[in-house]
Amino acid sequence: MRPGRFVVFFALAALLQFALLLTPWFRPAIDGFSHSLVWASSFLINALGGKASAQGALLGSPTNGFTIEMRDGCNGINVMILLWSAVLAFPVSRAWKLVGILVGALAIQGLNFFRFISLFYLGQYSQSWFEFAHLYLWETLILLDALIVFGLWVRRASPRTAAYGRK
Amino acid sequence: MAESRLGHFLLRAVGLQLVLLGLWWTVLYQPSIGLLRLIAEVPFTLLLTNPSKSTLEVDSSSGDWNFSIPVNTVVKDSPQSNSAVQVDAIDFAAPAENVAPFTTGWFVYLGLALSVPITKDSTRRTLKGLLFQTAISALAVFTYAEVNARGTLAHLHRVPDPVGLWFLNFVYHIDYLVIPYASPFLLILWTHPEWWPKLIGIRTPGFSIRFSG
Repeated sequence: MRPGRFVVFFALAALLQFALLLTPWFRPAIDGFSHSLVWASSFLINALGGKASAQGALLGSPTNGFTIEMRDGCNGINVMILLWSAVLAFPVSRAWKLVGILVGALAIQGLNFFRFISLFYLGQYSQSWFEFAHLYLWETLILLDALIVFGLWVRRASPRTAAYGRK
Repeated sequence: MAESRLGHFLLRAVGLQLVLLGLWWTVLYQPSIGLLRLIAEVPFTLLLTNPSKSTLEVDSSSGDWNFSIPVNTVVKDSPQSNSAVQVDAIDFAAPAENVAPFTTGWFVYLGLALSVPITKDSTRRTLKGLLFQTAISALAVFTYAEVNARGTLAHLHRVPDPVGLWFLNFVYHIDYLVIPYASPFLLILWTHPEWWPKLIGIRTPGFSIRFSG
Protein backbone atom coordinates (compact mmCIF):
# COMPACT_ATOMS: atom_id res chain seq x y z
CA MET A 1 0.00 0.00 0.00
CA ARG A 2 1.28 3.47 -0.89
CA PRO A 3 1.33 6.46 1.44
CA GLY A 4 -1.13 8.33 -0.80
CA ARG A 5 -3.65 5.53 -0.40
CA PHE A 6 -3.16 5.52 3.37
CA VAL A 7 -3.75 9.29 3.51
CA VAL A 8 -6.92 9.04 1.39
CA PHE A 9 -8.32 6.14 3.45
CA PHE A 10 -7.40 7.93 6.68
CA ALA A 11 -9.14 11.14 5.58
CA LEU A 12 -12.25 9.32 4.36
CA ALA A 13 -12.52 7.21 7.51
CA ALA A 14 -12.11 10.29 9.72
CA LEU A 15 -14.66 12.38 7.81
CA LEU A 16 -17.18 9.54 7.83
CA GLN A 17 -16.81 8.98 11.57
CA PHE A 18 -17.07 12.70 12.35
CA ALA A 19 -20.15 12.90 10.12
CA LEU A 20 -21.74 10.02 12.04
CA LEU A 21 -20.72 11.51 15.38
CA LEU A 22 -22.69 14.66 14.63
CA THR A 23 -25.89 12.94 13.51
CA PRO A 24 -28.84 13.18 15.92
CA TRP A 25 -29.06 9.37 16.19
CA PHE A 26 -25.62 9.17 17.82
CA ARG A 27 -26.25 12.07 20.19
CA PRO A 28 -27.81 10.04 23.05
CA ALA A 29 -24.95 7.52 22.93
CA ILE A 30 -22.31 10.28 23.02
CA ASP A 31 -24.06 12.10 25.86
CA GLY A 32 -24.45 8.83 27.76
CA PHE A 33 -20.76 8.10 27.28
CA SER A 34 -19.77 11.56 28.55
CA HIS A 35 -22.09 11.23 31.56
CA SER A 36 -20.62 7.84 32.43
CA LEU A 37 -17.09 9.31 32.31
CA VAL A 38 -18.17 12.08 34.68
CA TRP A 39 -19.83 9.59 36.99
CA ALA A 40 -16.70 7.36 36.99
CA SER A 41 -14.50 10.41 37.72
CA SER A 42 -16.70 11.35 40.66
CA PHE A 43 -16.64 7.76 41.92
CA LEU A 44 -12.84 7.55 41.74
CA ILE A 45 -12.30 10.95 43.41
CA ASN A 46 -14.61 10.00 46.29
CA ALA A 47 -13.08 6.53 46.59
CA LEU A 48 -9.63 8.10 46.96
CA GLY A 49 -10.75 10.47 49.70
CA GLY A 50 -11.64 13.55 47.62
CA LYS A 51 -15.02 15.17 47.29
CA ALA A 52 -16.93 15.45 44.03
CA SER A 53 -20.48 15.08 42.79
CA ALA A 54 -21.67 14.12 39.31
CA GLN A 55 -24.81 15.44 37.69
CA GLY A 56 -25.16 14.56 34.02
CA ALA A 57 -22.14 16.07 32.25
CA LEU A 58 -21.22 18.19 35.28
CA LEU A 59 -18.61 17.36 37.88
CA GLY A 60 -18.79 19.63 40.90
CA SER A 61 -16.92 20.22 44.11
CA PRO A 62 -19.27 20.36 47.13
CA THR A 63 -16.64 22.28 49.13
CA ASN A 64 -16.18 25.38 46.91
CA GLY A 65 -18.86 25.05 44.23
CA PHE A 66 -16.40 24.69 41.35
CA THR A 67 -18.00 22.81 38.46
CA ILE A 68 -16.68 21.55 35.14
CA GLU A 69 -18.71 20.23 32.24
CA MET A 70 -17.66 17.48 29.87
CA ARG A 71 -18.53 18.66 26.37
CA ASP A 72 -17.73 17.39 22.89
CA GLY A 73 -13.99 17.67 22.49
CA CYS A 74 -13.45 16.92 26.20
CA ASN A 75 -14.55 13.28 26.03
CA GLY A 76 -11.60 12.11 23.90
CA ILE A 77 -13.84 10.97 21.05
CA ASN A 78 -12.25 13.30 18.47
CA VAL A 79 -8.80 11.83 19.13
CA MET A 80 -10.22 8.30 19.20
CA ILE A 81 -11.72 8.90 15.76
CA LEU A 82 -8.37 10.09 14.38
CA LEU A 83 -6.58 7.08 15.85
CA TRP A 84 -9.21 4.65 14.63
CA SER A 85 -8.99 6.19 11.15
CA ALA A 86 -5.24 5.61 11.07
CA VAL A 87 -5.71 2.04 12.30
CA LEU A 88 -8.44 1.35 9.73
CA ALA A 89 -6.33 2.82 6.92
CA PHE A 90 -3.24 0.79 7.81
CA PRO A 91 -2.86 -2.44 5.81
CA VAL A 92 -3.11 -5.21 8.41
CA SER A 93 -5.55 -8.02 9.06
CA ARG A 94 -9.00 -7.29 10.49
CA ALA A 95 -8.05 -8.95 13.75
CA TRP A 96 -5.12 -6.56 14.18
CA LYS A 97 -7.32 -3.61 13.28
CA LEU A 98 -9.73 -4.71 16.01
CA VAL A 99 -6.84 -4.93 18.48
CA GLY A 100 -5.75 -1.42 17.45
CA ILE A 101 -9.25 -0.02 17.84
CA LEU A 102 -9.81 -1.55 21.29
CA VAL A 103 -6.35 -0.85 22.70
CA GLY A 104 -6.38 2.62 21.15
CA ALA A 105 -9.73 3.44 22.73
CA LEU A 106 -8.50 2.25 26.12
CA ALA A 107 -5.26 4.24 25.87
CA ILE A 108 -7.01 7.45 24.84
CA GLN A 109 -9.80 7.15 27.37
CA GLY A 110 -7.39 6.17 30.15
CA LEU A 111 -5.37 9.33 29.64
CA ASN A 112 -8.49 11.42 29.09
CA PHE A 113 -9.89 10.16 32.38
CA PHE A 114 -6.72 11.32 34.15
CA ARG A 115 -6.94 14.62 32.23
CA PHE A 116 -10.52 15.28 33.35
CA ILE A 117 -9.74 14.64 37.01
CA SER A 118 -6.55 16.73 36.85
CA LEU A 119 -8.54 19.60 35.31
CA PHE A 120 -11.12 19.32 38.07
CA TYR A 121 -8.39 19.99 40.64
CA LEU A 122 -6.44 22.50 38.53
CA GLY A 123 -9.60 24.57 37.96
CA GLN A 124 -10.01 24.97 41.72
CA TYR A 125 -6.46 26.26 41.95
CA SER A 126 -6.11 28.63 38.95
CA GLN A 127 -8.63 29.58 36.28
CA SER A 128 -5.88 30.77 33.91
CA TRP A 129 -3.86 27.55 34.09
CA PHE A 130 -7.07 25.58 33.86
CA GLU A 131 -7.80 27.29 30.51
CA PHE A 132 -4.28 26.60 29.31
CA ALA A 133 -4.27 22.95 30.32
CA HIS A 134 -7.84 22.33 29.23
CA LEU A 135 -7.80 23.93 25.80
CA TYR A 136 -4.22 23.50 24.71
CA LEU A 137 -1.78 21.38 26.69
CA TRP A 138 -3.93 18.31 27.31
CA GLU A 139 -5.30 18.38 23.76
CA THR A 140 -1.75 18.19 22.43
CA LEU A 141 -0.65 15.53 24.89
CA ILE A 142 -3.63 13.32 24.07
CA LEU A 143 -2.88 13.62 20.35
CA LEU A 144 0.72 12.70 21.10
CA ASP A 145 -0.61 9.74 23.08
CA ALA A 146 -2.61 8.67 20.02
CA LEU A 147 0.50 8.92 17.86
CA ILE A 148 2.49 6.83 20.36
CA VAL A 149 -0.23 4.19 20.55
CA PHE A 150 -0.38 4.07 16.76
CA GLY A 151 3.43 3.73 16.57
CA LEU A 152 3.54 0.93 19.15
CA TRP A 153 0.64 -0.84 17.48
CA VAL A 154 2.32 -0.67 14.05
CA ARG A 155 5.58 -1.99 15.59
CA ARG A 156 3.74 -5.07 16.77
CA ALA A 157 1.53 -5.37 13.72
CA SER A 158 4.23 -4.72 11.09
CA PRO A 159 5.71 -8.27 10.92
CA ARG A 160 2.20 -9.47 10.26
CA THR A 161 1.73 -6.57 7.83
CA ALA A 162 4.53 -7.88 5.66
CA ALA A 163 3.04 -11.36 5.64
CA TYR A 164 -0.44 -9.97 5.07
CA GLY A 165 -0.02 -7.88 2.02
CA ARG A 166 3.41 -8.05 0.37
CA LYS A 167 3.29 -8.76 -3.33
CA MET B 1 16.79 -1.03 22.83
CA ALA B 2 14.46 0.26 20.13
CA GLU B 3 11.77 0.82 22.76
CA SER B 4 14.17 2.82 24.97
CA ARG B 5 15.11 4.99 21.96
CA LEU B 6 11.40 5.51 21.35
CA GLY B 7 10.94 6.45 25.01
CA HIS B 8 13.76 9.00 24.84
CA PHE B 9 12.40 10.47 21.62
CA LEU B 10 8.88 10.75 23.02
CA LEU B 11 10.09 12.23 26.30
CA ARG B 12 11.84 14.92 24.27
CA ALA B 13 8.67 15.50 22.21
CA VAL B 14 6.51 15.88 25.33
CA GLY B 15 9.08 18.15 27.03
CA LEU B 16 9.24 20.42 23.98
CA GLN B 17 5.46 20.67 23.89
CA LEU B 18 5.40 21.71 27.55
CA VAL B 19 8.10 24.33 26.98
CA LEU B 20 6.76 25.79 23.73
CA LEU B 21 3.09 25.83 24.73
CA GLY B 22 4.06 27.31 28.11
CA LEU B 23 6.08 29.99 26.33
CA TRP B 24 3.15 30.71 24.04
CA TRP B 25 0.68 30.99 26.93
CA THR B 26 2.87 33.18 29.15
CA VAL B 27 4.70 35.41 26.65
CA LEU B 28 3.67 34.93 23.04
CA TYR B 29 -0.13 34.72 23.34
CA GLN B 30 -0.90 38.31 22.26
CA PRO B 31 1.87 38.55 19.61
CA SER B 32 0.71 35.31 18.01
CA ILE B 33 -2.89 36.54 17.89
CA GLY B 34 -1.57 39.75 16.27
CA LEU B 35 0.31 37.67 13.72
CA LEU B 36 -2.77 35.56 13.06
CA ARG B 37 -4.72 38.77 12.44
CA LEU B 38 -2.16 39.78 9.79
CA ILE B 39 -2.09 36.46 7.94
CA ALA B 40 -5.88 36.06 8.14
CA GLU B 41 -6.10 39.23 6.08
CA VAL B 42 -4.91 37.25 3.03
CA PRO B 43 -7.90 34.89 2.60
CA PHE B 44 -10.36 37.57 3.75
CA THR B 45 -9.03 39.97 1.09
CA LEU B 46 -8.73 37.38 -1.67
CA LEU B 47 -11.94 35.44 -1.11
CA LEU B 48 -14.44 38.01 0.18
CA THR B 49 -15.63 41.34 -1.12
CA ASN B 50 -17.63 43.57 1.16
CA PRO B 51 -18.01 47.00 -0.43
CA SER B 52 -19.56 48.64 2.61
CA LYS B 53 -17.01 47.77 5.32
CA SER B 54 -13.93 45.74 6.13
CA THR B 55 -14.58 41.99 6.47
CA LEU B 56 -12.30 41.73 9.51
CA GLU B 57 -11.37 44.35 12.08
CA VAL B 58 -9.97 44.04 15.57
CA ASP B 59 -11.35 46.28 18.29
CA SER B 60 -8.28 47.95 19.80
CA SER B 61 -9.80 48.33 23.26
CA SER B 62 -11.51 44.96 23.78
CA GLY B 63 -9.38 42.90 21.37
CA ASP B 64 -12.56 41.42 19.88
CA TRP B 65 -12.45 40.27 16.28
CA ASN B 66 -15.29 41.94 14.37
CA PHE B 67 -16.31 40.04 11.25
CA SER B 68 -18.55 41.30 8.48
CA ILE B 69 -19.14 38.41 6.11
CA PRO B 70 -20.94 39.22 2.85
CA VAL B 71 -23.74 36.79 2.03
CA ASN B 72 -25.86 38.78 -0.49
CA THR B 73 -29.01 36.74 -0.19
CA VAL B 74 -32.75 37.14 0.23
CA VAL B 75 -34.54 35.49 3.14
CA LYS B 76 -38.10 34.88 1.96
CA ASP B 77 -39.45 33.33 5.17
CA SER B 78 -38.07 35.55 7.90
CA PRO B 79 -40.03 35.27 11.18
CA GLN B 80 -39.46 39.00 11.78
CA SER B 81 -41.06 40.18 8.55
CA ASN B 82 -43.94 39.21 6.26
CA SER B 83 -42.00 40.23 3.17
CA ALA B 84 -38.67 39.00 1.85
CA VAL B 85 -35.59 40.42 3.59
CA GLN B 86 -32.39 41.30 1.73
CA VAL B 87 -29.30 40.32 3.74
CA ASP B 88 -26.05 41.82 2.47
CA ALA B 89 -23.67 40.75 5.22
CA ILE B 90 -23.63 39.04 8.61
CA ASP B 91 -21.77 40.96 11.30
CA PHE B 92 -20.60 39.30 14.47
CA ALA B 93 -17.84 39.65 17.05
CA ALA B 94 -15.62 36.95 18.54
CA PRO B 95 -13.42 37.48 21.59
CA ALA B 96 -9.71 36.96 20.96
CA GLU B 97 -9.69 33.76 23.03
CA ASN B 98 -12.08 32.22 20.49
CA VAL B 99 -9.47 32.52 17.74
CA ALA B 100 -6.48 31.68 19.96
CA PRO B 101 -6.68 27.92 19.15
CA PHE B 102 -5.72 28.78 15.57
CA THR B 103 -2.35 30.10 16.78
CA THR B 104 -1.18 27.05 18.73
CA GLY B 105 -0.39 25.05 15.59
CA TRP B 106 2.86 26.96 15.06
CA PHE B 107 4.17 26.07 18.51
CA VAL B 108 2.99 22.46 18.52
CA TYR B 109 4.48 21.94 15.06
CA LEU B 110 7.77 23.53 16.09
CA GLY B 111 7.94 21.33 19.20
CA LEU B 112 7.39 18.23 17.09
CA ALA B 113 9.94 19.34 14.48
CA LEU B 114 12.60 19.96 17.14
CA SER B 115 12.04 16.47 18.59
CA VAL B 116 14.21 14.97 15.84
CA PRO B 117 17.90 15.86 15.34
CA ILE B 118 18.30 19.30 13.77
CA THR B 119 20.16 19.44 10.47
CA LYS B 120 20.32 22.03 7.70
CA ASP B 121 17.85 19.97 5.70
CA SER B 122 15.44 19.47 8.60
CA THR B 123 15.56 23.23 9.33
CA ARG B 124 14.57 23.94 5.74
CA ARG B 125 11.71 21.46 6.01
CA THR B 126 10.64 22.93 9.35
CA LEU B 127 10.38 26.36 7.74
CA LYS B 128 8.33 24.85 4.93
CA GLY B 129 6.07 23.17 7.50
CA LEU B 130 5.63 26.45 9.38
CA LEU B 131 4.55 28.09 6.13
CA PHE B 132 1.98 25.35 5.56
CA GLN B 133 0.80 25.66 9.17
CA THR B 134 0.40 29.39 8.63
CA ALA B 135 -1.72 28.77 5.53
CA ILE B 136 -3.84 26.20 7.39
CA SER B 137 -4.38 28.61 10.31
CA ALA B 138 -5.39 31.46 8.01
CA LEU B 139 -7.84 29.27 6.10
CA ALA B 140 -9.21 27.84 9.34
CA VAL B 141 -9.97 31.36 10.64
CA PHE B 142 -11.65 32.18 7.34
CA THR B 143 -13.75 28.99 7.54
CA TYR B 144 -14.62 29.76 11.18
CA ALA B 145 -15.96 33.17 10.16
CA GLU B 146 -17.80 31.83 7.11
CA VAL B 147 -19.46 28.98 9.05
CA ASN B 148 -20.54 31.30 11.87
CA ALA B 149 -22.03 33.70 9.33
CA ARG B 150 -23.83 30.89 7.45
CA GLY B 151 -25.12 29.55 10.77
CA THR B 152 -26.54 32.95 11.70
CA LEU B 153 -28.07 33.24 8.24
CA ALA B 154 -29.67 29.80 8.54
CA HIS B 155 -31.41 30.90 11.74
CA LEU B 156 -32.89 33.94 9.99
CA HIS B 157 -35.30 31.55 8.26
CA ARG B 158 -38.58 30.66 9.92
CA VAL B 159 -37.66 26.97 9.70
CA PRO B 160 -33.89 26.40 9.34
CA ASP B 161 -32.92 23.60 6.97
CA PRO B 162 -31.86 20.68 9.25
CA VAL B 163 -29.49 19.16 6.71
CA GLY B 164 -27.85 22.54 6.11
CA LEU B 165 -27.46 23.04 9.87
CA TRP B 166 -25.97 19.57 10.26
CA PHE B 167 -23.47 20.31 7.50
CA LEU B 168 -22.47 23.63 9.10
CA ASN B 169 -22.08 21.87 12.45
CA PHE B 170 -19.93 19.22 10.76
CA VAL B 171 -17.65 21.80 9.10
CA TYR B 172 -17.45 23.79 12.35
CA HIS B 173 -16.51 20.66 14.30
CA ILE B 174 -13.70 19.77 11.88
CA ASP B 175 -12.50 23.36 11.55
CA TYR B 176 -12.59 24.35 15.22
CA LEU B 177 -12.22 21.16 17.24
CA VAL B 178 -10.01 19.02 15.00
CA ILE B 179 -7.88 21.06 12.55
CA PRO B 180 -6.17 23.41 15.06
CA TYR B 181 -5.01 20.46 17.18
CA ALA B 182 -4.44 17.71 14.61
CA SER B 183 -2.88 19.72 11.77
CA PRO B 184 0.63 20.02 13.31
CA PHE B 185 0.73 16.24 13.82
CA LEU B 186 -0.34 15.52 10.25
CA LEU B 187 2.10 18.11 8.92
CA ILE B 188 5.07 16.76 10.85
CA LEU B 189 4.55 13.28 9.41
CA TRP B 190 4.64 14.83 5.96
CA THR B 191 7.53 17.29 6.31
CA HIS B 192 9.69 15.16 8.60
CA PRO B 193 9.70 11.56 7.31
CA GLU B 194 12.34 10.75 9.96
CA TRP B 195 9.43 10.83 12.45
CA TRP B 196 8.05 7.62 10.96
CA PRO B 197 11.02 5.29 11.68
CA LYS B 198 11.34 6.77 15.19
CA LEU B 199 7.66 6.20 15.81
CA ILE B 200 6.92 2.89 14.18
CA GLY B 201 10.39 1.39 13.91
CA ILE B 202 10.39 1.02 10.12
CA ARG B 203 12.94 2.92 8.07
CA THR B 204 11.32 4.23 4.91
CA PRO B 205 12.66 6.14 1.95
CA GLY B 206 11.03 9.16 0.39
CA PHE B 207 8.00 11.03 1.58
CA SER B 208 7.05 8.76 4.41
CA ILE B 209 6.46 5.14 5.25
CA ARG B 210 6.39 2.79 2.28
CA PHE B 211 3.73 0.29 3.21
CA SER B 212 3.54 -3.22 1.94
CA GLY B 213 0.29 -4.58 0.58
